[in-house]
Formats: sequence, structure tokens, C-alpha cells
Amino acid sequence: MQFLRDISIKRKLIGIIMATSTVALMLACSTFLAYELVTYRSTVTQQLTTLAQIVAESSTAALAFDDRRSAGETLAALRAEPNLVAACIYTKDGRPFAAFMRSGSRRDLPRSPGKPGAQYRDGSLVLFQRVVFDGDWIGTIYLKRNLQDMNARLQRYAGIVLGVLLLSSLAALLVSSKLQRVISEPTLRLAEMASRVSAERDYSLRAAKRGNDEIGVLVDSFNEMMGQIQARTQDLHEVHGALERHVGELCDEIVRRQRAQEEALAAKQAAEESSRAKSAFLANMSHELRTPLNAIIGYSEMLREDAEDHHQERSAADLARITTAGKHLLILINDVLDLSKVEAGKTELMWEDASPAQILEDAAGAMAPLARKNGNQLTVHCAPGLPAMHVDVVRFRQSLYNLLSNACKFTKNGTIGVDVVPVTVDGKESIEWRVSDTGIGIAPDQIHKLFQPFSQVDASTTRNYGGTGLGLAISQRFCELMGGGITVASEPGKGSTFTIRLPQHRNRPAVEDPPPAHAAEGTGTPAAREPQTNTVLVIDDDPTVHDLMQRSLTREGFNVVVASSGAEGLLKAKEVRPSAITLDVFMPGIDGWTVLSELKADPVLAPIPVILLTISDDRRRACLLGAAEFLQKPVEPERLAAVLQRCQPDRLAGPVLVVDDDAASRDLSARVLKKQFGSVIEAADGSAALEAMSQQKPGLIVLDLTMPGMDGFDFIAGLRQVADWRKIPIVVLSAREVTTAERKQLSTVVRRILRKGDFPGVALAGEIADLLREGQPVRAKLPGENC
Amino acid sequence: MGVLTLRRGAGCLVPLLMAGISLAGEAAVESPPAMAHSEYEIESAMLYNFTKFVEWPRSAWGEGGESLVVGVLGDDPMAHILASALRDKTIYGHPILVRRLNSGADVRGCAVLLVGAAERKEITRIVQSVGRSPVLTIGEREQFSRLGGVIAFIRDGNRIRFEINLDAADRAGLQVSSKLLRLAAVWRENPPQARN
Repeated sequence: MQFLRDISIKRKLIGIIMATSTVALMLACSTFLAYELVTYRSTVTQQLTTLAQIVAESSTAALAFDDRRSAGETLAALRAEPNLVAACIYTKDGRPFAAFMRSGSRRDLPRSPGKPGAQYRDGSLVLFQRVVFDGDWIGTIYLKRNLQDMNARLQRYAGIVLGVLLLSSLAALLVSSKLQRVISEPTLRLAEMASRVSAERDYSLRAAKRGNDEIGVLVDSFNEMMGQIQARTQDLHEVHGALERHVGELCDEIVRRQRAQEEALAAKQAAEESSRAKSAFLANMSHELRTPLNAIIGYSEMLREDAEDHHQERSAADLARITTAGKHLLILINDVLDLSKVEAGKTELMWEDASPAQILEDAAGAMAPLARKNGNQLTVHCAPGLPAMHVDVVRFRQSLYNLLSNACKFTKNGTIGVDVVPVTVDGKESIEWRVSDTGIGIAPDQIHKLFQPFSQVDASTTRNYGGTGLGLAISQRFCELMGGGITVASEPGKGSTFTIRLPQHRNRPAVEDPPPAHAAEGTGTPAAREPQTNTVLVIDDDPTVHDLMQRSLTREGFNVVVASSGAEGLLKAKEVRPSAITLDVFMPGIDGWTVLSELKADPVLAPIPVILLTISDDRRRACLLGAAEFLQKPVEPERLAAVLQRCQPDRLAGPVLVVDDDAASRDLSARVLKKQFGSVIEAADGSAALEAMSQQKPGLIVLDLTMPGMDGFDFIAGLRQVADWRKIPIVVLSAREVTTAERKQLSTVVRRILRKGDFPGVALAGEIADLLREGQPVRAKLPGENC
Repeated sequence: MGVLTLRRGAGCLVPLLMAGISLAGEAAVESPPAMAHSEYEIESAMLYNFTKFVEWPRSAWGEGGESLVVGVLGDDPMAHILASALRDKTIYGHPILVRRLNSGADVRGCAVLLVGAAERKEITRIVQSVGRSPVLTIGEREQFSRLGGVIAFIRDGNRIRFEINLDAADRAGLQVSSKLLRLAAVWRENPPQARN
């Protein structure tokens, strides 16, 4: 079929004409032949029937009179009929009576007559005809005629038909090959034109029209189409030109934008660079500012102690002012750095779970002296069964302490309360820390200024109450970072309530307060404790205290030995060698301070932790004298037990290694630590420290981070190369701002990270002794906690 | 002078037509008739067939329904056999009545007259008494037809053939079918062929 589609129109046309004429002719001829055949057959049949009738008629007498000869003669006459093959006359009972056979063979004769009628059989016409005489059937005629004449005639006809067919096809071919041009030529011309157009791409060409028939219409349509194409091509050319111009502009634009992007990228990099530089500046700044302040505060305190010891009252007072000013400056620097970090979005939170009750207890302990200073009563209350808070504990504590210290500052002889309650706001579970006071209060028009940095309620506030004016702003920012905030309600003259609200995270189980003996498992606490054999010496002049202690501490598993006076206490201490001593300050005879000094002066008794139990609030003095803990009466037995559990003798496996590049800081640390732990080695940088360690293995390392040469991080990395050194406890004492990432990095190997200036001088020794006892995991520590 | 012209087709004659008297097959044709009785039967069958090939003038018979009389003269057994052979048969629609005649005087009213073996004189007398009446006269031997009878049975060995005197038939006004003539020996009293 594809072939048929592919041949040219010319051939197609000729083919169609030829096929049509041939089919028509063949149909006509076939009809003619068929008609001829039918007619001829009927004629032949008619003829034979007639012949049979004649024979029958002329055979009646012969049959009637049984005259075979006569019948034979009658049949013999049929010889004249050339196509007659055989003839026979049968009697009525079917016996042959007379016969004629052209070939002489009896094969042509049936043995008995068949049914009357004509029949075409084996290329012959066979006929039986009854002979009826006077109404009686007296015999049957049989005639057999061949059809040679008919076949010959048909053959002749077929030949003629074939000849006519050939001749007419030839004629049709001739005529059609002439006539097809009428249609094919214009079509071919059009096709040629179309291929010329597509080959030369000349859309101005037009086809010539010859007539108004369908092809003429096609030519018109073609020309019209060409016109449209021409117009469109022209349009396209114009658009193309415009497009090229546009693309050029676009390319320019792209180049321009790329340049802009590169510039933006460069600017971004510059900005990042400057941001990094700013961070580095902040870190360096804090280091550079705190390091000298650390020295100033530390040395001035030491000098003040000396002055007091030598009863140089004036000098002591001056030195106290220097210390206070230094501390104020340190607080200011810390606040400014904190605020600038918050404002720069550089604050990284360190999330951890913490027990609200524990935090509250710590806060109460830390704030008690401050509250007492203005004659305030501090009451705390925590709703039972609170779940753990998921907060940055350091920042949260900072915020809470800020509120508490403000409350203490602005309240005199009043009450300061802390309430921790769960609330549900807008379907969200939250926890609220409400710090209320009965202080001077804040005027409504001043409240909005509260949380703005560098603004206090009025300018005189700073003079009267101290403070940087940054605390609330920083606390607010921290709480916001933790997903909450601080609100305030106040009435001038009656008091204020500051509320920290933090979202409570679901699915956190309610936490028990951490067990007091949270001893360092695998963190290498030098001495292990034996709680069962723990003996506590209680030195107090009040027998009720003896009784109370004995009962509560025995319940907690301690052996309790009591002493009613300082002298007795000293004796008992030497005798019993208790694992801890609780000491009342105000006693008749030798007072607590003296007993403490005596205990710490005795090298045998010095390591025994002493817990001061008193109504005095001179925590600082207690710390300076080497008290392990300072608890204000009345003391809850549980708290006391927890503190006692934490206490253990300060024993180190070796000297303390102090690594610091700043000579003043190093010297200061070394002096206090020597007093506390005896032997101290000093090193100016990491490599010197490592060298010193190879000489003698230290029991504790106090490490500065920012050092020339090998810094603190490199030192830790070097230290960890030696398996034996890995268990040495490390305390980081740095003026640098430690980032969250750095803190994480350090947390695995460092026991505690302390900020320089926060623990000047003696405080450092107490803190370290404390941490050795606690075996607590690493965390940054703020001043004011414990000692 | 009469000339015997043997027409083609004249041959053995065995009456086969009548079912009851057929002798069945060529074998029968070859064998001679065992009894005179069968000759009578054959002849009576032939007689009946003759009537079919002979046409009587219209005036010969009365109105329809009238019996056609076949008279039998001088041959009693023949009359008897014929009567039984032609019973229930008709000629041109007329029932057949076989009647024995005692003399030639009784021929009137007969359509067919069968004459037994007879003398020349008697034959002549019978022919004369028939005269020009439309009577098909049938007799024995050639002399019967040559003396003026219309059809005569002729013994040719075992076969029974017949001779027709066309002139006699003409005289009686009978039209003899050419088909019958083809089978018969035809006798003309004055044949034109003889003079040629």
C-alpha cells in the first residue's frame, strides 16, 4: 500500500483511469458471457427437448408394434445432429429398445432410464423424455448431447473479450496519458513551486493559475499562504533583531548582576569577617580587661587582709574601696559584654535540664546574705512535682539572681519572696518565677524604662543603690532567648513583683532533686568517700542543736559527735578526726571564727571540711577562713545532710599546676592555691606546662585559655596524648568569653570553667576545693554561689 | 397389378403393448408361438393398436357414448379372446363391443371387421358388402389385402407382420397414420411407381 501512496500523481491518474475502464469492460464482458452461456444453454436444452419430442413422436408406432428396426432407423437419423453423442429408446418397463451411439460404445447409455428432464452432467446435456401414446406411457427416450459447440463458442467469446480488453486498455492508456495532464500538470507545477520555495527560501515566489477549478483554488490558497508566510517571515526578522538586541541587553544585565552579586558576596564576606573580628575583639577585650582587674581585685583583697591583720584600719578601708571599685568595674564589664553579645546575636545558649527546686535552693542560699544586709526576710516556695526545666542554666540563674539582688537592694526591712508555680497560658504550659518584694516600688511612668539598657529609674538610683543599670535589660534578653520573658507589676511604696515566665517543655519527667552525693563517677576525684563511716563533729553551745543534729544526721547515716564549746570542739576534732565539722560562730569562750582559724592552722585538721552554721551572714569571712560551706540558721536537716555528703577532705595526688601567661594572675592563683593545697607549680604557657608535667605529675591543673605560643586548647590536646595524664582534673580559669562550641569541646575533659575576676584570690581556692569535693560536672560558675 | 413394396422398418412383430399379453423380451420374439392361442392374443393386441393409428371419418360413428362395434366373422376362438382382451378398453373414447357375425351381411354398424381365414370368393364377397362403408377390415394372409381388405396379418416365419392396402383404406374413407405405414408392407392396387 505504501508503494501505491508513493507513486506520482501522473501514474496514479493513469492507473485510476485504466483500472476503471478495465473493470467496467470486464464487468460488461462477463455479463455478456454469462448471458450468452445462459441463453445458449437454454437454447440447447430447448433444441434437445424438441429433438426428443420428435423422436418420441416418431417412435410411438414402433414401440406400439414392438418394431425395433423402425425405432433403430428413427434413431439412426439422429446421426445428422453432430453434437448428439448417444440416443436410446427404452420400453415402459425400462429395457433398452433401440439405441444410437456415435462412438459405438455402450458407455454412453445408461442401463435404465432416469427421471424425465434435461440435466447437465459431465460436460454433456442429458435428457430423458417419456413417450406417451394416446394417454399411455409406452416408453422413454434418452438423448445425450455434448457441449463442444457451446464450449467452443464460449472460448471464442473469451478470446474476443480478451482482445477487446487489450485493445480498449491500450486505447485507455493512450487517452489517459494525454488527459491526465489536465490534472497532474498544474499539481506538479504547484509541487515544484513548493519545493523551490522550501529549497531557495524565497517566499516571494507565486504559483501561476490556469483555471478556476479546485487546483485553481489551491493555487490561490497557496499564493495567499505564501503571502502570509512572507509577511510573517518579515515580522519574525524584525522580532529576531529586537530579540537579539534584548538578549544583548540581558547579557549586559546578567554581567552587571553577577558583578553586583560578587560585590554583595564580597561585602557579605567582609561583614562576616568584621563580625568575626568583632567577636574576636569582644573575646580579646574581655581577656584584656579582666586579666588586670583580676590582679587588682585579688591583690587588693590580700593587701586588705594584711592591713586588717596589722590593724592598719585606714589602709584596710582604702583597699576595701579599691576592691569594691574593681568589682563594680568587673560587673560593669561583664554586663556590657553580655549585652553587646545579646545585641549582636552572638549569645549561644547551652540547653540542659535542671530541677527548679535545686535552682531555687541555690538561689536562696546565695541571696540570703544580701537579703540580710538590708534586714530583709527571704522566703522561697516551690510548687511540688514540677518537671525539669529545659533552660540555659547559667543564663537563667543570672537572670533570677539579678531580680533577687534588685529586690534586696530596693527593699529595706521587708520581705522578699520567690514563688515557683506552673501556669498555663494560651494552652501552653509554662513555669513562672515570681520575685516579689515590699520595697520602694516603681512609678507606672517609669516601668517602661526598666528593661532599657543603661537606664535606671532615676539618675540618683545608681548613686543610692549601685548597679550598672544593665542587669534587667540583660535578664530580659536572656529570658526572651529562652522563649519566655520578664514582666513586672509594681505599686510605688508598696513593692514590686517581677515574673520570669518560661515555656515548659512537655514530656519531661518530674525530676527528683539530684542526690546530694553526686560523686564523680570516673572523673577522677582523688579521694573516695566512705559515707557509712562518716563521722560528723557538731560544735555548738546549744543542746537543742545537738539533739536535732544527732537525730537528723543519724537518720542520714552519719555518726555524730557533739562538742558544747570551741575548746571542746578542737579537742574532739583532734581525737575523733571527723570527716566533717559543723561549727557555730557565736559561742561563749572561743568563738567560731577562732575555732575555724585554729582548725585550718593545724596541718592535720586543715583538710577536714568545716561547715559554718550560724545566724551571721559573714560568708566572705567564712570563706576566707577556709570554711567549706556557710549555712544560715535555721538549717533544714536535708540541706545540711546534702552539704555534708558533699564534703570530704581536700586531698590531691600531686601539686597544683597553674598555667597562665599573665604573671600577676599566675602569681595570685599560685599564692591562694599554695595556701589551700600546699604545693604549686607554675607554667607560662602550654609547652612549659607539658614540660613541667613530665618532671612531676600534678594532682590538679588550673589552666588559662588565651596564651601566646601553645594555648589552653593545644595544651589539652597535648595532655590527652598521655593516657596517665587524662585523669588529672582540669579547671579552666580564663578571662576570655567561652563560646558554646568551645564549652562543649572542653566539657569532656575539663571539670569546671571559671571566669577570671569572678573568683579572685581566695575564692578560687574555695571553689576548687568545693569542686573537688563535689565531683560535679563541668559548668561555668557565677560569683555569689556558695562562697 | 399389385406390387409389394416393403417399407423400411417392417420387421418382426411381437405385440408387447398390452400388459397382460406381452411375451416379454427378445427371447420370446425368437421363440415360435407354442400355441395358436397366443397367436390370437397377439393379433387381438395388434388389432387394438391398429385402431389407434387409423382415423375414421367423422360420420362413421354416432354420437358420443355409443359403443364401437368390432365384428368377428368366421373365427370363434378369436372372437372370444378378443372380447376378453378388449374389455374395458376404448377407442377414441368409445367403449368397445365385440360382436360375432354370421355373415358378411351384418357388417353395417361395425367399425372394425375381423375376418378369419376365408376363401377368395368369400373375401371378395365380404369386401363387396362392405363397399365404401367406413369399416376397417382385417383379415388373414396377403390375399385378403390384395382382394380389397384394408389390413392383412402375414406370417413371416415366427413373426406376424401386416400389409396395408392403401386403396382399400381410401375407399373406406380411413386415414392410416404414416407411422403405421412405416411399419407395414403397403399394397397399392394400381401403384404409380410401377408404371415409372
